Amino acid sequence: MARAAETDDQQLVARANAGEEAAFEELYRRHRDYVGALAFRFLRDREEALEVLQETFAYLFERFPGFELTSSLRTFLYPVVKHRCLDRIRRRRPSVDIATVEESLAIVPSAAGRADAELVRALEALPAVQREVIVLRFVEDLSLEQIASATEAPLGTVKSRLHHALLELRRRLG
Amino acid sequence: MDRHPELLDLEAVRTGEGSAQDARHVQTCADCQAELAELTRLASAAAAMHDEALVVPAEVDARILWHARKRALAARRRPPSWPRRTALVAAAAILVAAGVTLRTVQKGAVPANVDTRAADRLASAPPPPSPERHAQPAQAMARAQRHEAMDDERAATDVNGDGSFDILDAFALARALPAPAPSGDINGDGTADRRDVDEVARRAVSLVQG
Repeated sequence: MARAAETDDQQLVARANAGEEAAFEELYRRHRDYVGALAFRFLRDREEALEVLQETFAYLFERFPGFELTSSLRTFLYPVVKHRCLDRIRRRRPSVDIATVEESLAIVPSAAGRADAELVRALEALPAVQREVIVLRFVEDLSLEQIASATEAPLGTVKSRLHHALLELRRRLG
Repeated sequence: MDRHPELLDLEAVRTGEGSAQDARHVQTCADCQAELAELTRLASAAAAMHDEALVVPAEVDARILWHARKRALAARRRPPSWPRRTALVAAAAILVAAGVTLRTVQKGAVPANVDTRAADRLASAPPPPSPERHAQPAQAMARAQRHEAMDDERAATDVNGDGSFDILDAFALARALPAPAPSGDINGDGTADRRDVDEVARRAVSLVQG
């Protein structure tokens, strides 16, 4: 299913490169909710998330014509959203160093979903890079290759992070 | 019984990306089935925690889609690719060569098959007003006068603004493409493109049957 969506995105990108307005709109409609939810998850601020949504699609559209999609569009969009959110968090707290900002990147469940408090604690206890991989895998349903592309990390590193994260979750929840 | 799959291999089985061998193993191993069930529970619980959505107001949609329309337009107006540009330059060079040849011919005896009506109109046009009556330089006045002598269609094709209508206008238009309509839209089809260059060339080198 993810592969079919990837093929569809490739076709939409080709049509958008040719200047077809409907293809731009379809790309937006397909990925709007993903980008919005991701930005909101990182920032926990609705207005700022909406601004990141606009910036992200403006950045994407500016790459047309001539945009080449080498992976899935989600894995292209993920680092764009993440870096923009990081910038905003850094601006909120300029004195805090980048490692701390990355560590604080939300990826923490909303109040509405706090039913499984034990799992929340287990997730929060993970290092940020491991938590990120868990979310991309379980929530975004990305393959290991896609996670590597989205996080700009080698595949081996992603496998190692996922492996350690699963072991730690099993240890804490077992 | 074959060995138990590693944790990551089991996770791959969960998503359907695992090997057929591991999948077969899980079907017959109670321990691995329990492990897989725990992974599945963990994945669903994590996904359920993050199912929040951001409601996007219509005006934000509209703003982003306005940007999309702008980019779609830009994509349609993309400059010609190198092969097309090279062909355009070659065509312009041929037009210029044709223009130079024609001018040379016109300086001498006019061939019977060349339409001289434009030249005749210029010759019979009233003389330009005296410099005392108008503040413009004499050269500009002469150019304006020549424009008056041309019919509307031909005046519109003085692309390079030198006051005369000739093959150099086709060359100027070819170089200016893509020109914003309506300035380069000579044939009135709403766009300025190669067909307008052809049209200028056709009007400049108007040959009569003979």
